[in-house]
Amino acid sequence: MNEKLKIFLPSSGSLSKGSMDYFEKSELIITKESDRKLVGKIKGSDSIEIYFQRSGDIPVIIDRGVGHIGVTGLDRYLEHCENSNLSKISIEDLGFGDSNLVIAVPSGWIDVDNIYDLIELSYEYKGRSENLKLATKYPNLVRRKLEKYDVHNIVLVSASGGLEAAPMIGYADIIADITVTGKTMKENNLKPLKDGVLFNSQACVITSNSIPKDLNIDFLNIIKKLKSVGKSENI
Amino acid sequence: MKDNKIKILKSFQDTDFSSLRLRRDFEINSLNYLIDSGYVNIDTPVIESADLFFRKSLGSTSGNTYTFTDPQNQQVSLRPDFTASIMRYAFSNLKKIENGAGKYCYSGPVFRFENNDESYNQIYQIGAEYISERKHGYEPEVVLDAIKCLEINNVKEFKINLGNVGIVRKYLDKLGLNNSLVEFFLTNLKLLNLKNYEDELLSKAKFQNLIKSNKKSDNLSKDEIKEKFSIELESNLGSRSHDEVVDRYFNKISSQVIESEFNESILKLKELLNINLENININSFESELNFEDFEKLIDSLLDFGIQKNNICIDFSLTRNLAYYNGVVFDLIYKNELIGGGGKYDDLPKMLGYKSDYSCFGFAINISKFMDALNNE
Repeated sequence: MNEKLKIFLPSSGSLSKGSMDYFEKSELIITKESDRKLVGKIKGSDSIEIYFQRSGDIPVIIDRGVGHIGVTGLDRYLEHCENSNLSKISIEDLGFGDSNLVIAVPSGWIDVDNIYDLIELSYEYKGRSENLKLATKYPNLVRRKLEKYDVHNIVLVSASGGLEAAPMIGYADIIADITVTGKTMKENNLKPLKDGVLFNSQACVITSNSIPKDLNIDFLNIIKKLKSVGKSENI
Repeated sequence: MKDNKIKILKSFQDTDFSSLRLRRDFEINSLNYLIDSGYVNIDTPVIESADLFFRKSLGSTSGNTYTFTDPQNQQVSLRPDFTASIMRYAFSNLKKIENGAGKYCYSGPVFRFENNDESYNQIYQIGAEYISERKHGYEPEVVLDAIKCLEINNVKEFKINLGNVGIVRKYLDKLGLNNSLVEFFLTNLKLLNLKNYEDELLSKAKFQNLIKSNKKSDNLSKDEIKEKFSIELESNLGSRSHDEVVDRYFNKISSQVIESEFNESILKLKELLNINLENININSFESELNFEDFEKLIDSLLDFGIQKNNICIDFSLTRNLAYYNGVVFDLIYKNELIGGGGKYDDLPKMLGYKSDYSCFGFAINISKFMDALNNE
């Protein structure tokens, strides 16, 4: 049986709708038998399969070579695969799914406005044999970004949801999370640091570095069509 | 056709028979020397709680640490070095230290992620940690043990760079700088070696809000701060107390310095960094900073037979500020950094243990040494 080109798209949320719209603009019409079905096709092509998965899982699926093309958030890809040589970002900005990875502290911390206040505060914690704890779903991305600021003594604690409550319940002192408007942070008594935007994210197309030869024509055709409406080109 | 062959990971290497023999010889010779000198040889797990290494130092190693969630949902790391593990072991078994066995040596692989093609991510180290009841005076013994590990392996042409984070910190404190500026200068000492060091430091300090534009600007009193921010301070402050936040805000606005004061501190710091082996006995800081132990260390190296031109005094050397607090040293062989160490009295406390001991350790990177040999 001939192998098919496998494209992975987000199964829910704004990235899912954005991906479907983007493919349609690229003249790649996706069809599936029902909304609940996690497998679909490109209209008019039997050699391509579409799979719908959680956007957070797609980077690893592509990186491991299970899939060939994927749409996901840039944040998710860089968190899991930034230094991988098994996959790459082929279109960096699809023009939707914009969000920021932001460091936020309790709004009552009037003495903390920027990352350097945090560094200093971390030394004060260290002075009493404690650590300033930062909760995040993106430990790798946050760690790499903080390194650039000579940050010492901030311990990253992983969390998967409800991050905004972490300082209140004592799980962590501060957080770094993805936000679009900052409204949820504000409602939970958190303020972003003035220089606390660590990263701007948006939807991107990622591709495996090991595309089987007999799928290469289909692969290049799809990328060409996606690029024809994309903002940036760096394949 | 898809290439289905499994290849070695990027930045990892296999070791052939002759290299393996060389590495093992180095390891065994060094360990035998250290064991004969009273160090107890121990081993610790390759995987430890990620927090152990993060607490030790986020800045220098955490970004390079292989960290992942294990099947029991714990955040774990492959060890990036041995020191934190040895301290965990030693201070969990405090009776052994009290009975006089506070000297440990180790060897094995450590893992550091480097995203470049020039270095490997699994390296081999041998090293030692000395936990002492004496607060100072024992440092020369440990530095000489590091050197003897090289000499016993016929490594003769090495250089040693010596610094002292404790002296620099004491000097900065004596200059009357606030904590923020002390930490700022300690973090950026290497910038003082640049040609345009004044501009670099000033722009960085301005970016960090450490410089104020006008000395005469009025500062709020603590009561005024409480009144001005009453709404914010009523909200949930997490782990910090109301007074803690107010005190720090007060200190922050009152401790900024004006540009001229900042520049003056740079000049004075530069004087300290100008100290070298020739002028260390006649420097003007000697009486106020107490160089006695540092000079004794240098004398021990000279007495041991290290040539003067192979010893470099470098007060901008800090290695890893997160935990070193006294003498630090680098060992250089054929222009490669192959080892080093220093004094780190606060590390046990950072790991949550009570300690009145002084700690000093070193590690030699056998892989780097072998690279230097191969490049020869």
